[in-house]
Amino acid sequence: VAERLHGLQQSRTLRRIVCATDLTVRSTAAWERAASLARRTGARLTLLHVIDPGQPARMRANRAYVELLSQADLAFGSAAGFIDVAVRRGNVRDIITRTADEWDADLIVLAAPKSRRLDSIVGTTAERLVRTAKRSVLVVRREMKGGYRQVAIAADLSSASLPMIRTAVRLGALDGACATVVHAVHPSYDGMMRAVGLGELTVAP
Amino acid sequence: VIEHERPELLAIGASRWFLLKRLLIGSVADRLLRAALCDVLVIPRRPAVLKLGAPIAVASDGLTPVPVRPDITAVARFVPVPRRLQQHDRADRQARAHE
Repeated sequence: VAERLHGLQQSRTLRRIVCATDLTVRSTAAWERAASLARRTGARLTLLHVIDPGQPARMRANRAYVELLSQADLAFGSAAGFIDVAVRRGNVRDIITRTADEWDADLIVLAAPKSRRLDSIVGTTAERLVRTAKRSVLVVRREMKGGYRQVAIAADLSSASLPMIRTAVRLGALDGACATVVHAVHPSYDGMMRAVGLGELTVAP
Repeated sequence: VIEHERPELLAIGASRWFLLKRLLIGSVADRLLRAALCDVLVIPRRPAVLKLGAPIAVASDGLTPVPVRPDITAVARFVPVPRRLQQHDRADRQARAHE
């Protein structure tokens, strides 16, 4: 397994990362993480900002360009040539998906969504993106403090689990990390077992 | 696990569900995206495909110890590999050669 993982790491081909940012403080961790991954893997990075169709476009677009360029400069300094900057207008989810397809991105990075009242019904942008995108999506919630050291992989032991782990390796998510593979099982007849007085540890150890 | 191990990243697979099912009960990925306190990497699930180079466990009767391929440790004589999977495998091999 170690040999195979090593082989996978050698043959890694992470070529393009698309990082969607709303240019707020919330997105800082996302583009910092994306920049870190791009630096480590040699992938090209696209910083994308989507303008809502209901807002005046030109002024916002110009300002967004300037902010994205300054973020690129901040993240990569003199190597900022490895970063592409895109400002587009339209539905956020559609534009992110389309841009990722257009650049043939291996990974989409975006910040964790704010929790709003209607989200449980309509879903957040991240959730809708995850449902429709054919590419891996990294939702960044924490401020970046170096590479990931503790990683949990949820596997259902189906035939899709192994390709999933291989993709995680290919994306560099497990580099130098201590990984735990988790397989959660819902115990059958747990209600009945509890009803006859079996303890929690017996039902779901 | 997230509470005890406190991982910095959770990697999960996501399936593309039908709209009605999704609306009614949601997906594990959706719920984890909302609840997890760490970064979440969601990897889209591909259909069941045998990937070359991956270790493959196949049921064995213990009578056929000679591997038919280096990455398959044993194949039971009475459980043939389904033709559909062989086709997937061949397609993957071609895609890899093309890369």
